[in-house]
Formats: sequence, C-alpha cells, structure tokens
Amino acid sequence: MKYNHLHLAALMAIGLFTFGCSEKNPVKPITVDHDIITTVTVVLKPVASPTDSIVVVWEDIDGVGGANPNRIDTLRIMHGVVYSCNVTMQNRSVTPVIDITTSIQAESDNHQVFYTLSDDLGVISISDKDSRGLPLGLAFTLTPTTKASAVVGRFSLMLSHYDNSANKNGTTPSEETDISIELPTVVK
Amino acid sequence: MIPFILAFSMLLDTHVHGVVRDSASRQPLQGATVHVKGSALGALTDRTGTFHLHDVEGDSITIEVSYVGYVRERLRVGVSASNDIRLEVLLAPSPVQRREIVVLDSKTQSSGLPTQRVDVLTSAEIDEHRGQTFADVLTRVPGVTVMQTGPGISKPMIHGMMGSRLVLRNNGIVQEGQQWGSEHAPEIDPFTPSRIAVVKGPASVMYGPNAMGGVIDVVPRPLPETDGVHGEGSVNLFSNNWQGAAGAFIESKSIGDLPIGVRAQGALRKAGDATAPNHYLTNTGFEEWSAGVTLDAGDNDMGLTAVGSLFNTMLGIYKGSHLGNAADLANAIARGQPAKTYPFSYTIRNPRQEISHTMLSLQGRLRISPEALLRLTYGWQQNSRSEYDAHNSRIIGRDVDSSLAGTDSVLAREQDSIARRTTALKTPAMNLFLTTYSLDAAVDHELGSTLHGTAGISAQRQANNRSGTVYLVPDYVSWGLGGFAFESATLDKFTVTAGLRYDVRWLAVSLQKRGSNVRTDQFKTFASFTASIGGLWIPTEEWSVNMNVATAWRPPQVNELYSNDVHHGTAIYESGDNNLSAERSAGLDATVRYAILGIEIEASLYTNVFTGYILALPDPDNPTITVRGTFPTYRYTQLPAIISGADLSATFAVSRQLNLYGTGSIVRGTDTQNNQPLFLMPSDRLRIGAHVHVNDVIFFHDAFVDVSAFGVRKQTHYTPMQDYAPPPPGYLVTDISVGGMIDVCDAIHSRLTISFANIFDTAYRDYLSRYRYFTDDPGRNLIVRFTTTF
Repeated sequence: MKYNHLHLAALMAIGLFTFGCSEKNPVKPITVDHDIITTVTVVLKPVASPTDSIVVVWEDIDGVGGANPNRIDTLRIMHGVVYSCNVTMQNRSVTPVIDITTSIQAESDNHQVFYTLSDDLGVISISDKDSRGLPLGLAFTLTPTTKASAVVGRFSLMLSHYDNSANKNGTTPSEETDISIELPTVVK
Repeated sequence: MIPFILAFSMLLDTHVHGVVRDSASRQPLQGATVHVKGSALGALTDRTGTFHLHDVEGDSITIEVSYVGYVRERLRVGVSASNDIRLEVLLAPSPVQRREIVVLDSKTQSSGLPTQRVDVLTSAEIDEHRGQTFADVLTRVPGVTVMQTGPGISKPMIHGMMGSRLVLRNNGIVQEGQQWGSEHAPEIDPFTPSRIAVVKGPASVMYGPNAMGGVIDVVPRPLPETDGVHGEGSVNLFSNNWQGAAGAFIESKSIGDLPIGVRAQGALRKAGDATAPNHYLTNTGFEEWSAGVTLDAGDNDMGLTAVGSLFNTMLGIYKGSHLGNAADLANAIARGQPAKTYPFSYTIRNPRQEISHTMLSLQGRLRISPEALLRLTYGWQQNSRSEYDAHNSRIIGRDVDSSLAGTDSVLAREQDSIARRTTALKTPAMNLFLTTYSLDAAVDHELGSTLHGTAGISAQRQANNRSGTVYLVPDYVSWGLGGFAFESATLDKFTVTAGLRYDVRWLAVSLQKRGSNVRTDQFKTFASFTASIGGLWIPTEEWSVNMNVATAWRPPQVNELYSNDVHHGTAIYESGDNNLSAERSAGLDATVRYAILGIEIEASLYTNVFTGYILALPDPDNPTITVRGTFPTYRYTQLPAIISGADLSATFAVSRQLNLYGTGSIVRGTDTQNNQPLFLMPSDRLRIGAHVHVNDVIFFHDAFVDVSAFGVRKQTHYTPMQDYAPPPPGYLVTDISVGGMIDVCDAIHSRLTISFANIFDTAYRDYLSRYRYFTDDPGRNLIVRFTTTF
C-alpha cells in the first residue's frame, strides 16, 4: 500500500514538471523596440542669405553605449551674422530613418530644448512656442557676439522632458534629460 | 521565544522521557510542567530536570512544557517510529535569546558544515520581527545587513558580501534569479512558514562557487505528525506605507486516507508610498502575492517531497531616483530632497519592476544501507524580470508602418504619439527570462562510530532570454557540474570537518549590439576547486570554539563580463570586461561562545583574502558620451582585496524578568592594490536593548516589552573619488515592541505584537541605501502583527 502511494506521488510530481519546458518568455514578447536618438542635426541659415546654410551633425550611430559618438561636427559661425536655426532628431540606425522631431512637436507641452553658448560666444533665443505659448526650442535664432576676443567655445543643446506639462514654465529644465550634447564652436 | 529541541529516539517501550534545561546555562529545571495535550497525562520534572510519561497513546502527541519565568514550549513528537522517545527540552529564559544552535532532523540536513556556526531564526522570531521585505528580518543576525533600494527592495549582505557571492536556498534548492543587480531583491515570500538558517562564511563545499560569502537557507517547517488539519494565519499592518499583508497556511499529515502530507500556503501584500520624516517617497509602493504547495510521502528512510511555488511582485521605483543623466543626478544630490512632493498614493507608475518566480522541486530520500542515506533533488525554476522605464518610453519614433504614416495633421500626429506612448509604457525596457534546472545527488554516510559525512554531485543548466533595449546582461546558456565530499570526525570534545569540491562552469553567450540583429557567440569555461577544514571544540559546558579555514572561488558573472548600459536609478554607465578571470578567496573565521547562568557572549572574527576580487571602479578619464549626456563610467575590473570584520552578541539576565542584550558588527574592506577602502562596505553598527518578560498580564501570557536603540556610525572608510556624495552621517533609531500570547478556550493560540520602529521619527540616511543621494530613509513605522494558529 505504502509504495503504491509513493508511486502516485512521484507521478503527480513528474506531471508538474512537464509543462515547464520553454525557455522563452511566453508572457510578454516584445515587438516594439524603444526608440533611440542617434542623430541630432542643426541647420543654421543666415537671415540675410538663407541659401548659405550651415549643417552641423552630432551622431552616435550605435546608440547609447558601445562606441562613443562617430561624428561631432564643429560649429563655425561668423561675427555679425544672425542665424535662423532648426534642429531635427532622428534614429538613423534603422531603415527607413525615424524622425523623432515630429513626436516632440506632438508633445510640445511636455518638452523644451534649452541652449547655451559658453564663453560669451553669442545669444540664442527660442522662436517657436508650444500650445500654451511657452518656448519649445526646435527653432531658434543665434546672434554671435560682436566681441573679437571670443573665438572658441561650446554650443550645448539639452532636451528636457516634463512628465506633467504643468511643471514646464519655460525657464527651468526638468530632471529628466532626453538629449544633452555639446558641439565645439568657433566664431570667426 | 521558542527554544531549541534536541530529540533523540531509541528503541524501547511506549515511554516518553527527557530533561528540561535552561537554554543558556544548561542547568536542569526542577518543577517544570510537562503535559500531553488532549490527555490527562502529565508530569513534573524532578531535581535533575527529568520527567517520565508512560503509556502514551496515539501515533503522535503534542507535549507542552512550561515553567515560571520561561517561555512555554510546545512540541509535536512522533511516537509511531519508536516506543521510547527521549527529549531534551531547552527553555529560554529570555525571549531575546532564541537562536537555535543544533537541530537534528533526518529530513533536513544542516545548512552549513558541522564546524560552522549556524544562526537560525525560528518561525516565532521571524513572526515577531517580520518587516517590510523578506530580507529585513535577517538583520537580527549580527553581521547581516541589507542594501536597500527603497522600502520594497532590500537585498541581504553577509560580512560585506552580497549578490553573486551569496547563496539563497529555498525549499532545498538554490534560488536562481537575477542576483547580480543591487536593486534585485530575493523573490521569497516573507510569510513562508519556515525557519531561516544563516551561515556566515564560505559554504562553497556544500553549495558551489557562489556560496563563497555565506548561505541564507529558508528551511520549510516540517509537515505535522499529528492527525487533523492544522494551520496558521497572520496579518501584518505597517503605518509607514499603509502596507497590509496577510499570509496563511493549512497542513495535514494525510490527504483523506492517503498518507501524503500536504501544506498549502498563500500570502498577499500591498503597500503605498513610504514616508520619510518630511515627505512621501513617491512611487515606492508594491503589490505582491505568492502561493505554494508542499506534498510529502514516505518516511525518513524512503520518501519524496514535492514543492511548487509561485511568487509575483510589482514594485515602484522612487520617482526622485529616476534621472536622465549625470547632471540631473548632481542636481538631485545638491538639492537633497525631491524637487516636488506628491500626496500619498497606492498607485504604482513607471519606472517599475514586475517580477515573477515559479519554482518546483522534487526531493527524494532513500536509505540504501543502515549507514547511508541517498538524497536526490531536482529543481526547476523560472524567473521573469521586467523593468519598465519612465524615461526611454517617452520619445518614441513614428511607427512607419502605421496607417497614420504620411499624415501631417497635428491631430493625427498627436493621436499617433499618444498611441505609441501608451504602448511604450506597457512594454518593458528590459525583460530577462531565466530558466534553471538543477539536479543534485548526495549520500549522507557514517563510517564507523566517529566519522560521518556527505558526498555528492550537482549539475545545473541555466538559460537567460533577454529582450528590450537595455543591455545589462546578454542571452546565455550555462552549464555547471560539481562533485564534493566532506567528512566529520567527532572525538569527545572535538569535531573536525574537512571538505573538498571541484566545479566546472561552461558559459555560452550570444551577444547582440543595440540596433543590430547580428549576434556573436562567445564560449567560456571556468573550473576550479574549493576546500575547507574546520574544527569545533567544546572544552567545558561554558565554552565552545569554532574555527574554519576555507578557500573558495567564483567565476565572473555575466553582468561582470558583458554589461554595457546605464543603470537608470544611479545614472552610471556599467561596462563589463569579457577578459575577467575567476575570483578566489582564502578565508579564516573563528567564533568563541561563552555561556553561564544568565550570561551569554559570542564573538566572531573573520578575514577573507581575495585574489582577483571583481568590482566596478570609476574610469574618470574615459566617460561614456551619449545623446543623453556624459555618464560617469564604471568598468569591471579585478584586484587583490581583503574583507575582515567582527561580530559580537551578548545577553545578560539581570533578573528573571529583565534581560539586557546587545549585538554589533564591524566590517572593513580594503583594495590592497591601491591600499584604499572598498566601495559599499557596511558601516559599524550596534544594537542594545532591554527585554522585560512578564508571565501573565490580564489575558496575555508570556507578555513582553522590548526597547532597543540601533546606532550606525558614519562610514569613514571610503574612497572619495568612487562616489557621488560623501557617506551620510551616523544615526540612532529607537524601536519599541510590546506583545504577548492570547489563548482562546485553550485551543486557538494567538500572538499579538505592536511595534514602533524609529519611534522618534528620526531623519537619517543609511550608507547602504541606494536612495541616500536623494532622500531620507523612511521614518516612524507602527507595525501590528497578529498570528493565530489552529
């Protein structure tokens, strides 16, 4: 009697084990990959002669990690020229290329791009607005300094995301930074 | 509260007899009452503490032993196997001193080597100190600390070692989750009806390479030997995060007429945001449920135990710790508290973790000769860990296949954006799916009258399946094979144990780069030996001395070899090194214990010398530049190191009612290559307390009041360049507990404890809390614990 029960218990237990064969997660197959920004492009058009545009690119084609950025252009601008600028963000690691700028425009109330120029290289003022009239920063005007002394510095671009659009006030960056890059800058 | 029991069985008549002693002094207790529950049988102990019960009826009885000033003890004794039962019952005068020292039970082997000191938390002690998480109760053992990532996530650390340097056993098998992450807590239900054995020191000979720092063994309570259905229900309430937790189990020695012992258990927990003295810790709630079934058939000489369990949890990650880049982190540290505080909520938002752990184990035992018992253990477990990111999920590129592609209206763009965001929030940034099979075979044997030991082999297969965009560990398959033997000789006052083990680990990794479908395979083999020799000397009744020398090794873990991503909570980029070799330690530990009537002192000293100690060190000259900014980069490296320390515990019985106690520990870690302190070692800590025990107060019996102060020194042994912020100041918190037992109609036994943890709502930060950069630790916590047995 005793051994029969033992066999029964063994069979029951073995039965429990037979379903556990898959080593792939059956519950949550992930089909949507989180997107990455590989490339930030700034197009600067002199207000006086828009056809003489300058294009500078910051690119880390393998995304966060792996190799450090493969391309960081130097921004070369001229004294006395006012530039009208646009910035685009893309994921170029996939085909076709994904434009992320449109997502930021769609969620303009939750984003703002902040710019700084070091060493008094010039002044940047944001020219586009979100739905509430606060600055967005995908378009801006760059006025280089007139001081002949300032020639070399850094242009930095920072995209802040606000979980709650009420926290955006147009002047204070959030603590969740989606983009933070710097380009070496020369004013001639 | 429950003292330890030494039960020996011999062959004679239906006769239960034994000696009742004071657990600290081993003095016999005269006049203790011994009573067989449900019968008229009873006896008083004589001058030598001895009692005799004759003509005991039934297969199994419950004996109750009580004595004025001591904690009542209830034990179930199986009478069917033998007609003569000899018991040694040790009653604890102080509910403070409750650690079991020796447990003899043929179904469960000891958690450590015979010469190793094993600290055991009894189920009563677990019940009385059960905290917010499984690991919290372990801090009652001197030398054990926890690394916390908020109130819901705490990871045990023994003598400064954690994660891949510790083995956590649950139901006889080694628990395999993603142990490498410091924010990855053990997937164990705190209500598991069990005792917890802690081995502080290398146990690699028994459990393989990862046990180099110690073992935490969750040993399920034995199934009942008496007829009928038994059970227990517990409710815990915590005011700090308005946590409600409940657990229950029922058990029986048979299912109807089938002689299969069974236990079913379940538990639920739900907590909201924790409260620091000045604000809520937003998004630190958690929801957890677990369930398990244990079946056991056969007897001590031939039998089978099957255990199945499910564990499921969802944990919020503190909002203030989730930062975009190093500059955000610097701002958060400079501010020292959250930028914005939110009201209390039970809602768990991203960032969050969802973890499930499914485990099945089969443990067979067969006596193959009078001197040898074969144990076979098969384990299967699956661990699924999903980490949802609040950060990556927001900016999502347009879905090029969507029907909205090419549409340029603002409304369509917005709808598209919201739809993608919703999908993204439901999609983990990282999912790790780990499947582990293990098979162990061991023979416990006796060679002559003095020599006994265990020899065995163990095999393991593990497969990790990764998905998502976080590249902390790759896909891999690993195989492990090990063989071991340890033998003990007991000669009068000496026990000597020697053990040897050899392990081979094969690791096949499939590496995938971000944004690429190309995979490259790498194959690695690690093999080495582990050895241990130790002695236990009990020269007199008062003194005992344990000493162990061991060498252990550990292959580098997959994250140490291949990690290549940012840890979001800390804005650190971690970069693995696939050329790392195995880590080896040589350790020495010694424990001296002295116990006389009313005084018990235990002191331990240990040192572990490492070659190739694996750790992540900052590389300030080569930061990682990403589109989200520049991240400080920590690269895994190896260097020689020493971790040494001391633990001390003492109990002093001022009177039968009043006990004073203290526990303390010191750990020092040194990088001997650069002669500087190791990162993240626990700072010095000391707990002193007073415990007042009263026999009967109104309808309470065994009532107690416990007041203790817990002081932690500022960590002064650190290397400034390895951390963002200097260690926080030391702190002192005061805890008060009152409680007792309530019996209803002598049939339902309940225990009620009301505790105030951090009663003065002291604001403090622990050096080992990962939130110390951003916020204070949780403040005052009123805890109500109620347990009832039936």
